[in-house]
Amino acid sequence: MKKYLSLIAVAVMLTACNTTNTSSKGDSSSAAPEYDRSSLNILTPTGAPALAFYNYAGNAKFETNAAPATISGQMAAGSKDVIVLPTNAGVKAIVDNKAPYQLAATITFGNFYIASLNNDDNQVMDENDTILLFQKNNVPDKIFHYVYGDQFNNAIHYAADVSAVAQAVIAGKYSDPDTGTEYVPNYVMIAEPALTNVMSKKNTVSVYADIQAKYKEKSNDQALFQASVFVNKNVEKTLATSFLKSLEKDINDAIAEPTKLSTGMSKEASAAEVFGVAPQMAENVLKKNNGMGLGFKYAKENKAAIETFLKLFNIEGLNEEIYF
Amino acid sequence: MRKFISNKYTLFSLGILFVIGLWFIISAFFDVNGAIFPSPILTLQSFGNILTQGQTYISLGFTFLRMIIGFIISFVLALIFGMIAGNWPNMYHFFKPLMTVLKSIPTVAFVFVFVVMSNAREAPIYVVLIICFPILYEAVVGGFKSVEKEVIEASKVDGANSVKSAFHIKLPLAVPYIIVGIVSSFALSFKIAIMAEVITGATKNGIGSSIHHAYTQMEMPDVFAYSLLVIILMLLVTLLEDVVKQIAKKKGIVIDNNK
Repeated sequence: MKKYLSLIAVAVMLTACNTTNTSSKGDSSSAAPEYDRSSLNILTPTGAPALAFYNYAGNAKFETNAAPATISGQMAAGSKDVIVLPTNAGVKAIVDNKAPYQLAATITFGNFYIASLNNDDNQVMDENDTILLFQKNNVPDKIFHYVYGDQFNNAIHYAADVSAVAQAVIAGKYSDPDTGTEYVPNYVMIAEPALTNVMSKKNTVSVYADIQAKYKEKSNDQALFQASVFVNKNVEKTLATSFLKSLEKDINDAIAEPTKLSTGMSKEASAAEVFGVAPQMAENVLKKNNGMGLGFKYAKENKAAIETFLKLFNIEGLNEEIYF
Repeated sequence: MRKFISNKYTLFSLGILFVIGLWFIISAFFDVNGAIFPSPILTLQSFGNILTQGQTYISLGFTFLRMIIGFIISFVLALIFGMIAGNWPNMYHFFKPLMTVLKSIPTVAFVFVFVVMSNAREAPIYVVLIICFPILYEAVVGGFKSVEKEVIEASKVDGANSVKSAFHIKLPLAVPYIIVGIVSSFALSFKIAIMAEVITGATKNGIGSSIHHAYTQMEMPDVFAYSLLVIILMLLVTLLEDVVKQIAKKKGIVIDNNK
């Protein structure tokens, strides 16, 4: 019997020591002007948004996740101090699920490109080509349609995610999971760093269009406010402000000196898995005219651009309280 | 010659060659540049590569830790519930709807609930717990039910009440069944932990996370290599399961896997 009781005790102890709490409330009152990077629990999706947190590598309170849907769930539960999500998904969680967060700043401004497989005779994307997009009815799809309208609808096919698009580019073919039909794509919508990765493996691939530039043309020079930082309402305001200032500095430093990005990321032993990009690859893409679209803009000062972006997802008439 | 062909080790080896041959054929038909279905050669190259990386063993260790925590908790709960249901048959009927629900709910539904209730790194623990609990519970109940009536009657004559009889007579006699239940669900729990790591999107220290990362980087040979590593480990567990079943058989216990 003692054996069984000790088993229960060990199991309970092991789970108890793993529990996470929002820790900011207690610490926030003593916020120092210099931001301590272990003050807040942060959760961000892997890829471009995670790179903004290169100085948080190895920090126990910094967590990344490869499945944005699970981040939305945690946002609704209010379990983290800071959450990074696509701007539309975060705002939707606040509006629909009453997630206790405010939109503070945007940190990625688009990393989408149209890549050509250079197998199109006239080298011009038109309705006679096969175009592969990803995430139907989600950010990439909405942006593509905003930029190009419905003119290519008959040419469009969808892959589940950007990895499936990259796989199709390398293989030179795509099999539709619904119909089983095989297509040879001529053009694909793809995101960095997958684009650089694909181009390193298949040298016939080239960039056909920069979606960010097209978006700017279409929206009277407004940037694509893709992924944003959402701060929990329970976090003390001065602490949140110093966090945002520190993050802004980190991002600007990395853009000015991309080696800082890879150096910072490398402090984490499994950096490639945690950030979703290997440090050297991240540095290379950043050097390529900031291919990840990193940046920092306060949400409150850029309401018009944010609302233009949110309009793509039929989110309109936002309450002023949503902004930090 | 016939004896050689019917030898189980020869058949097992031929089976492995058949799987590798099938793998080569599928790869030859469907793969392009290692991006879809890498060949055994490409996979073995990646396998050698991941074995030299320390991070592979850390990931394996963390996946195993999550699995073992979930498994221990599910075992303890199964033991408690199983002893109650095995000792008092009415309670078995009382627990039946709960067990049916736990066995029927799609695993993926649990995963999302647990991610929100805890976090992505801990969710696999709870998923293993929920999936293994009803299996282990049935093993405990099965063990209790296998105790012959004469033994129970004799214990009553000797003055043992039902609680004493459960702890001192039925539980020791049910141990071989419970061990087989543990071994049988062990391999399953490892697969579940890996699957849960992939679905939760957890990014640090886990074989599931490594597989997911390799997929996003379009390194399909790595995806296959990690899978091969898991297959080899599971093969070892299966061998252990066979040894346990042989011991149980020698002791006159017939194990029904489809129970």
